[in-house]
Amino acid sequence: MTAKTMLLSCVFAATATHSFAQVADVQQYWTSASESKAMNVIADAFKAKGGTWIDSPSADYDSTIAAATSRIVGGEPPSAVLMTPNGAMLDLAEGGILRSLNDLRDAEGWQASLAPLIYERVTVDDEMVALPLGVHADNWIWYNTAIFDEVGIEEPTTIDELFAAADAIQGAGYTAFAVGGEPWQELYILTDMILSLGGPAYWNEIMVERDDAALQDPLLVTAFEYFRKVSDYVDAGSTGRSWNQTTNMVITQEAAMQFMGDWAKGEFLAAGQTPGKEFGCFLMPSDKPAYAAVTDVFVFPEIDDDEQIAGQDLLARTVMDPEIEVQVAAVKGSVPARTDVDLSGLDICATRGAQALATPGVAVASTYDALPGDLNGQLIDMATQFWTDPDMTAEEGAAALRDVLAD
Amino acid sequence: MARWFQRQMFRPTFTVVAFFAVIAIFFYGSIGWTFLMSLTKSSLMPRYDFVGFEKYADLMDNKRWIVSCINMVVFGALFIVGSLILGSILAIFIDRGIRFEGVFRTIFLYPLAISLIVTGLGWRWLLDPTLGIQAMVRDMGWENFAFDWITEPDRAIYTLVIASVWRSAGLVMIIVLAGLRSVDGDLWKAIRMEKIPQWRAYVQVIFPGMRPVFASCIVLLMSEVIRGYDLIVAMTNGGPGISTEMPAKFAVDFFFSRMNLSLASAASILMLLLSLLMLAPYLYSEFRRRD
Repeated sequence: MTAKTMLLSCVFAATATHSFAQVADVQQYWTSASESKAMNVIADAFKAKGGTWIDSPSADYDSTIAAATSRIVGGEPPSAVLMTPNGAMLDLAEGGILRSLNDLRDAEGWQASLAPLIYERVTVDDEMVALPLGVHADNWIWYNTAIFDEVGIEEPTTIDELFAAADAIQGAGYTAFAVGGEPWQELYILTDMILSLGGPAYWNEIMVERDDAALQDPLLVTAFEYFRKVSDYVDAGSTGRSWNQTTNMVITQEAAMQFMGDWAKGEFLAAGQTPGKEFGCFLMPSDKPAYAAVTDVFVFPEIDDDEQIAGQDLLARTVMDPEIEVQVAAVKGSVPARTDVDLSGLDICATRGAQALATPGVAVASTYDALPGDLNGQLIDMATQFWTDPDMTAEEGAAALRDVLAD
Repeated sequence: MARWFQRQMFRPTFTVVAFFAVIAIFFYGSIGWTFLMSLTKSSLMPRYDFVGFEKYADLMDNKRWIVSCINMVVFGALFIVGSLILGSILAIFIDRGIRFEGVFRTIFLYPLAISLIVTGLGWRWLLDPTLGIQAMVRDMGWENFAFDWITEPDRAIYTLVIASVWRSAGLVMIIVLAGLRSVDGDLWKAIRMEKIPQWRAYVQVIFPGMRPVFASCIVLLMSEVIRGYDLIVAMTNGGPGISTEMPAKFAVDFFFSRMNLSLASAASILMLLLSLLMLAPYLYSEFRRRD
């Protein structure tokens, strides 16, 4: 046998091992109109590459995690689970349940192509355990351009200008801030104020390091005062209103601005509006701009079945394909997690987001991604207590926040 | 062999043993496992690192849990008393031999056939100050009319009472009506001969004789209170703030969205103890009577 035939037989053997089916059973919750379009982008590309896609949709994040964990405990893990890099992911990773993607990462050079913050979020103890599908931020403000034009105001660049704009808008007879009644929406307003006053560095001190001295900073009291001030501009129907009904107030020119993550953009687009024309967007104004990232990721549970392992490999490569990243971002309203992709196809809001994400020191993890265990939930409870109880002072609010975060 | 087995299947002891085994495993087994979990630090997945009663202490420090428990007591008391009074009044009216009795009985019982989610959503719309009753009355000309309890943290809990009483009064009515129908005719003759006013007859003679009927009503309503979840989720979702949170919702939230298995388990165990405590007087009187 010559060296050449030996080489040939090796090539054949290698292709032979790839001849079995590549199956991916995907536990996911992207079921709304724009979300399912985004998931279909991934599924179609995966099928085009020869994979077999088994869709296991759940109604929402909670039921997806519940279904995935019971399948894992029952010994029938899905090949991939859609989730966010939060405490739950940390739990799964520490339990040794998630497959390490270090082999693929090194082969494909993924570490260099991801935004540093995002890479940090998907890595636990030097093991890459998740792949980002796209990045959202929760500190956007969405506004109705017609109201801004009528009142004669520009996008505010400081927190004081923001409230001055709100006063002017209220004077013109509109609701200045559309706020819904779900507790997590209220937490976002509070974190917007903290981010605006403290900036990314301070944010990391209190949310990531949870440093005791930083939590004593009187800045937090000021943040709570601004948080309380927002409630002066809210309409009577706010209680219990969902976030998308609230976005609709800005769409229909009933209210001028909404504090909301950039999933709100999907609502504007669905109403036939164009970013930069009927509606606009800006990140929470501050002299220390920040981008509070919420990431969507796939995790890949450890699995025995060869077909599913091959399916995981193929799915991982599909998700990280720069073109797929851009397409998913375009339909979902998110920003690609890779910084080396062509951004020319994105709209003005996504472009702003992508720029912020790529600027060093601007992107931080939102409370949702940054806090372990149920701390984010405790913050939500705390924020909504403060919001609905006008007798609670800003000092008491800051103390309550400290109680949750300082362990 | 198969026939022998078939014969065995129908032997009472075998059936009963199977039945108790199922109960023991799935009912008491689950309770036992939940208790076990409440002693650990489990978050998303079960982990067996025991920390004793630490999670129970955490629970007592948790403002949301305390508010939930207080809400359950306030809501429970008002709901049970309200349903009993309204249900009894309805039963008395129907028992007076009104016309179209069947029609009214159906109307009053109908809310019970509606799912709690639909009930909650309907009442939420009715009580929403910008859509419901308040908006309607204001449109009719009473500009200053205000009924926005559902948006006020210290009053929202009463809107839950209103919706629940609306739903459950029919159930109480039908049970009390059945009780009234079985009252001895001679008793009514005696009441008429003594010329006792109607209301006193009910309050002092008829109802005291129907103690077991009311006891069953109370037990039924109490179970509604303890497992109260769907109505709250549909109507207020615990808000405004945490003002209408209840223990069952606390447990579900912490199991499934807060990924805090141990705290949710501790809450469930406390709920079990709480319900045993609430049922204790009833069970005590029942067992004592049997002796």
